[in-house]
This record gives sequence, C-alpha cells and structure tokens, in this order.
Amino acid sequence: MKRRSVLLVSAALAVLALAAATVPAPPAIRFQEVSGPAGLSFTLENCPTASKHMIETMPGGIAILDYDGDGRPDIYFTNGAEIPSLEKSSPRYWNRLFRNEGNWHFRDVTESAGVAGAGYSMGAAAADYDNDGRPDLFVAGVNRNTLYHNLGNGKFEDVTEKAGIRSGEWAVAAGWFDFDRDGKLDLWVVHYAKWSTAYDRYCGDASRGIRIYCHPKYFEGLASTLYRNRGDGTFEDVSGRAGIAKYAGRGMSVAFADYDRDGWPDVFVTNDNMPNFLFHNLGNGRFEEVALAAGTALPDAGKPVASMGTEFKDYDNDGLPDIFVTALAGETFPVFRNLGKGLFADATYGSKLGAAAVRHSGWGLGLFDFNNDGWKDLFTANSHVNDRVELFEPAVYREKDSVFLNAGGTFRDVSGEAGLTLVRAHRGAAFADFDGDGRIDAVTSSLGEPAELWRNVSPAAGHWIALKLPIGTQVKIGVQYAEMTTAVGYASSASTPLHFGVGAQSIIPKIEIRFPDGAIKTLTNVKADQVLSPTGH
Amino acid sequence: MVSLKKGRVAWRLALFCFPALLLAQTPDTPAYWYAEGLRNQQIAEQSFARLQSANPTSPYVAALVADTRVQRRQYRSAFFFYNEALKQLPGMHGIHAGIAEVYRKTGHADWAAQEDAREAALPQPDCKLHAAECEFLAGHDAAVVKAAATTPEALYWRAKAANELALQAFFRLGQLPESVELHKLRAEIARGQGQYLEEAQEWRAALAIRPADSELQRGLAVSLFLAADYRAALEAARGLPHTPETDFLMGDSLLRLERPEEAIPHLKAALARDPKLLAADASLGLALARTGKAAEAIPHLVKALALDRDGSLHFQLAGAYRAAGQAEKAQAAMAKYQELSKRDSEAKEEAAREAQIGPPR
Repeated sequence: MKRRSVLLVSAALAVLALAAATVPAPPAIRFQEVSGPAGLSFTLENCPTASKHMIETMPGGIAILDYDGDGRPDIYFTNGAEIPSLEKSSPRYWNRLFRNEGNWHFRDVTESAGVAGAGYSMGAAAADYDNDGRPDLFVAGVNRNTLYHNLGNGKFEDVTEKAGIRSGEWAVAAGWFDFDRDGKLDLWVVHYAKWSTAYDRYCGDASRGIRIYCHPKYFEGLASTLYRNRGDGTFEDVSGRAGIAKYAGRGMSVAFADYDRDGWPDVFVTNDNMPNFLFHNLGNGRFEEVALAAGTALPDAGKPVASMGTEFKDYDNDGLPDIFVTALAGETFPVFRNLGKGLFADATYGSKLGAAAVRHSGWGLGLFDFNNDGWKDLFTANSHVNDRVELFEPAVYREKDSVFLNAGGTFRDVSGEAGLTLVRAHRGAAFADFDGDGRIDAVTSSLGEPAELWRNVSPAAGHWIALKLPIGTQVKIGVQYAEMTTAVGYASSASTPLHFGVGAQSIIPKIEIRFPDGAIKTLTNVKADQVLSPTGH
Repeated sequence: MVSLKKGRVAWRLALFCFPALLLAQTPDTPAYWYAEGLRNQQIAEQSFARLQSANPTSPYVAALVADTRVQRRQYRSAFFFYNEALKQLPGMHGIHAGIAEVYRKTGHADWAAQEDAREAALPQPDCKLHAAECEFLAGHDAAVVKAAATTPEALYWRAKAANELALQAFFRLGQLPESVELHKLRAEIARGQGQYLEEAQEWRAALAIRPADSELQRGLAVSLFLAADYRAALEAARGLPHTPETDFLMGDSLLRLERPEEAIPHLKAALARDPKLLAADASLGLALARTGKAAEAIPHLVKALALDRDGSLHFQLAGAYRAAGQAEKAQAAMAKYQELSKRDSEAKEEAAREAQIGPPR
C-alpha cells in the first residue's frame, strides 16, 4: 500500500512536471521607438515658470482617432499655453493632429483640420457623439474646454458654445459613455481644483531658494460634470440631477466599465491625494458614490495616494473589470481586483505589480495585450510630478516608461528587454494598432521633450481579433472579457477597435457580444487576425 | 534697554571673533563641545517640558515652539506660534525679532524691517520684575541657566539661555577640524529640519571617519528609512545588533517594498523583544492582511489602534474583518475610519489656514 502511494505521488509529480514543461512562456514584448522616421514631431510645451504653477505639471493627454475614416488611427496631442495669459500665443503651444499616412509615416494636419485649439489644454476624449460615423473630439483644459465636431471633410468645427459645453474650471480629463443607454454618447468631464494664475503660494524651502510645486492638499477640489447628450447637437448639464455634483475631488482621470454587470456603465474617477470615486450607475439617471464600500477608494493601507491615470479592465480573465491606477514612487500602482457582488480587493501585492512598480511614478497607462497571448499587459508612462524631487526624496524625476508582462494574472517588469529606453518626464499615453499588424503600439507625451512612438515589434506575438463596436459593448472570448471604451489611462483616449489577443488560435470558436441596447450576438468559428464590425441587429 | 541688547550682541560677537574666550578653561576637543552642547540642549528641553506640563497653552510655550520651528525651517508654523505668543505677551523681547526672521527667510524683507523696528522700539524691561529677561538680554546665559527658575517666565528665559549656550558649544565644534561629532550634530539638525537625505550624507561622512561604529550605522539606517529609501535602509541595517527598533525598521522597510512575506519575521521579532512597540503591531497587521492572513492580522491591528490619527488603521482593520467574514465589525471599523479621517482632514485644513504668512499685524 505504502509503495503504491509513493508510486502515485511520483506519477502525480511527473504529470505536474510535464504540465509545467508544456506551459509555454509568454511571448516576449518588444518595442521600437520610431517617432523620428515617422515624422511624428511634437513637443509638449508646458511653459514651466519660476512660480511653479501646478498646471505646469499636468498636461499631456493624447487622443487617437481615425478622423478621416481611412482605417488608419491618427494622433492628436494636447498642448500647454503661455503662462499667465493661458493663451496659445505661438504655434509651439498648438495642440497637434497628425494624420497616419500609412507605412509608419505621419503628417501634421493641425491647421487644415482646424484643431490647434485655445488655452492651456490638458486632456482629450474622442468618440462619435452624433452618430454620423465620424469620431469627434473633446479637449479639456484649464478654464477652457473645446468640443470639435468632425465635419467629415478633414476639418473640425468648434461647436463648444452651441453644444452648451461650459468652461471656467480646470478640467483635466474627460470621457464619452452612454450613461442612460439612449444610444447617444454623453460626456463626463473631470475637474482638478480651484486655481488661477493669481495663486502664488510659495512651497519649498524659501531660505534656500528651492521652490517646488505645492502639494495637492493646498488646492480645493472640484466635482466632475456630466453632460447628457440631447441628440440635437446640444448637451445639458445633469450633474446635480445625477447626484454627482456634491462629490468634490481632485480629479485626474476617468474610466468606465459595468463592474457589477447589471448592464449600466459605471464610472471610476481617480483623485489626487484623496479617496477615489466609484459612481455606481443606478439605471435611473442617477449615480451612487460607493468607492469606500466597494473597496476602491483607497489602497489597503488606508491612506490616499497620488492617483493619476486609470484603466478599468479585466486583467485576470475572470470576466469582471478590475481597476488599475498610476501613482508616485513609494505608492505602487494600486490594483483593485473585482471580486464580484460589487466588491473589490486590493490586489497590488497579489498581482505582483506592487513590488515591480513601487519605485516608479506613473501617469499614462494602458492595459492591453501587447504580445497577444490572451492576457492584458500593462504599459505605464513614467515620471515624478515634482521636477526637483531628487533634492528631497530618493525618487527620480525623469524615468523610462515601463511595461509589465501579465503572466496568467501576475505581472513582471520586462521594460528593459522590451526596449523602453528613453528617460523623460512622461505624461500622456495612448494605444492603437497604427500599422494594422495586430500588435498594439503606443504613443506617449513628455513635458518639454519630443513625443515617443513605440512600434510594437514583439517577435512571437499571437493571433488577434479587433472589433469595431459602440462604446459600452461587452465582449467575451473564452475566458477573456472586455468592454468597448475610448477612455485610456491619464487624460487620454483611443477611438479604436476593441482588441483581443488570442494566442495560438487562428480560428476563434466563439465571440459573445452584448450591445449597450441589450442585443446579444454570438459569432462562431471566427477567423483570427482581422478587424470586424459586428452589429446588434 | 539699548545697553542690555548691546550686551547680548557683544557676547555673540566675542564668541564668533574670539573663540579662545571659550577655550580658556576648557578642553578643545570635538567630543567635549558636542557633549557640552547636548548638555545645554537637555537643560533647555527640561525647562520647556516643565513649562509645557504646567500650562500647555502658555504664550511662553508658543514662543519656544516658534523658535524651534524656525530652526527646522517650518516658517509658516513659526509665524503662527509667534503671533499666538504675541497676543498675550506684546511687550516681550524677541518675539518681533523672531517674526522678522521668518519674514526674512520667506522673502519679505520689507515686512521684516517693520518687525525689526517694532522690536527695537520695545521699552527696556524692569529688571526688578524681569530679572531673567534682563540677564539674557545682557548675554549672561550661564547665569540665567544657573538661577532658580520657578515661574513660567523664568523657565522660558532659562530655556532660551540654555539654547544659546548649546549653540555656542556647537559653534565651537564647527570651528574644529572635521569630526564624527560634527557630522552627528549636522545629521541631527538635518533630521530636525526633515532633510533626511542630507542627514544620511552626514552619517555616511561620520562612518567614513569611524567605520563599523554601530551607533553611526544605526543613524544612517534610520535616516534612510525616514527618507523613504527603504532598499538602502535595509542594506544599512543589515548586520546591526538586533533591537526592537532595527527589527521594526527592517520589517517595515520590507513591507513598504511590497515584500510582506519577508517582513513578517522581522516584525514578529520586534514584538517579541518589545511587545509595546505598537508601530510594529500596525505593520505586522498590514503585512499579515496583505498575505491573506486576515484573522491573524486582526489582533495586531486592534492593538495598534491607539496610534490611529487619520483613520488608516481602522480602514485596515475593516478590510481584515471583511476578509475574515466579520461583516458587522467591518462596518463599525469603517464608520470609525470615516469619523477619524474627517476629523483629521478638518484639523489639517484648519492648520493650513492658520499657517498663512501675512503682513505685520
């Protein structure tokens, strides 16, 4: 009997060893920086001043949209302005639109498209709000927002005023979603804090002449604004009616997902050094702020962190959207794992992202399957907020970007081998398959330095599928789950097809799609490596 | 009055220009001057402690706190405390001068000049009623320190005089060739100012002179920990004799580096040596909770609640209760978190409002 047990144990161990040997290592992730040859020449001008105005630290949102409908994603960079006038007094401060002309070549079409913008811009959000088949563009900025309607002839029209979009507050980010599921996209605008150029508090060490950017605690936060799309080209501010106007935070970014799978899109807002907000969509035009009860307000230590960018996506393939947040060195990049039933748990340690990220400060981020192995990886655009941090803390200001490979639900820093070599004050990041090869590429912005275009050259990436879908559509492929959104990371946006890596599968057995209006569609035996445009009816 | 103030200035000048005055009857070694400085600092601290225990809201306490805040470069806070003192002691010497110093350090030379003028215009104290003040202003610090001090006013001037003597000793230390004591002093000053990276540099410089000194090595480890350079703190603490503090430092550093599994044995060791080290309980509670041992974490977090100022420990406890399936207790802990967090935020906002540096009042 004893001998039989030993044999059984040996056999079990042998099977385990065999299984371990046959589980393939995740394919490597590789990027190559190609902005120069691609003609993507953009420098983010934040206009740093001796007065150390807080706004200088925070611009850099990026939008990706196929503005001319040629099937190739184009890139829009937001830009700063002169301080204190907050005017784009020279072309160096213009926001810039780069047309993707194919074959890794981009051309600046800002002037002809009419999107140079005005004021000190921060974030951008692209989506087709009037359902004319063309992506439009919202630009969030300091006391000045702009809504551009895509005219379809390569030009945009500034419709801010006639659409009823307000300015006058410091908006950092925005996102499009259909909160009332009426088929028309609504707009969520995230505000940071009360601020004007007259604000001149001296922070730092005056006796040594070391002035630094003030801690966020000195700024009184603001609530987000929710604009309901009336469907006639105008919007109404429903923040009060929706129950969100009373929640003042120092908002940095917004992401959407139906975290409790009740069919209604919910909203997560990061707050700088304050508890984050999770607005549960009650389905009756109102939201309930539930972050504390749900477990997404704070990391497990119970202290607020400098929450900046966010992604609201399922990283562990359990079918529930989780939340990722970028923050400063020493704070990790918190991960809130969705446990179901409206509850989250801090999985920063369990996902192994904590140890990998604890020394980094991050802004932009993207949870995408860069090696198409069926697990979403994490890219972060890194830098500290304080350009003089090295005088006071063991942190660095300029950093390389990072990529963390998702190996079955845990993350590993593979930045070095991935080739992310440029040390800069990174801010925004957005992601798209710029060359249609099925591998997700990245674009980042950096304060005072050129933008980077990271071509994904991962050599053994798997098969993939991309789906053009309305915002809010929920898709399941095997164990993978994702929702269509154009909100990305920090103050950024990508109006691009929903991308799945499917590993070795050249034929995908089943794709289950639930559209925002409730229609369900199932596709079977779908050929991989293509872009599809499924419809609900 | 003018003559009294001149006495104070003359004494200082003499010290700076003719340090031999101090050396006449004393050994000229770094160890001596460092010890002498510390001894006087202790006298100042004892006087302050007596003053504070008698009446924590006394204007004399506020004035001494303000002096300390200036030394620590916490000018907004110093400004607030000087003005608090001034409300009740408008005629006391030194307060306007302190405010002037705050103005100078924060780039308001014009306001500083106004405060200097106010200081100069103060009438001479009645030396029968304010003997200690007169002695201090005349630069007779040693006499003030030696004199019996029972009233708040006398304790205040005693603390000031002892501080002066400490400064004189440390000044002399600074004139001697580079020494371990000098770097220790600079490290302590940097710590007081919250400049932990500078503090670490001083401990390293001291260690370069006297390698393998465990006291200096401990200072380096602590400064790196306070600077949040946890990797370096771990490295510096390796090989130090085990004490509750070093075990805690290593455990908490590992926890902050997201290595809770490794942190747990160090934190347990710290508590085995000192069961009253509540900070170790707090860290151990978080480390256990993070590694999925919620039930084990709960007693440590409960024990550490006495440390909770901002509600974060109650938040952690709520999480542990929730993970352990104790929903009602989780709810109660979360409610307490909200209460403490709100109170803490309000207190900080109030302090920030109070600590604005404005024009002379």
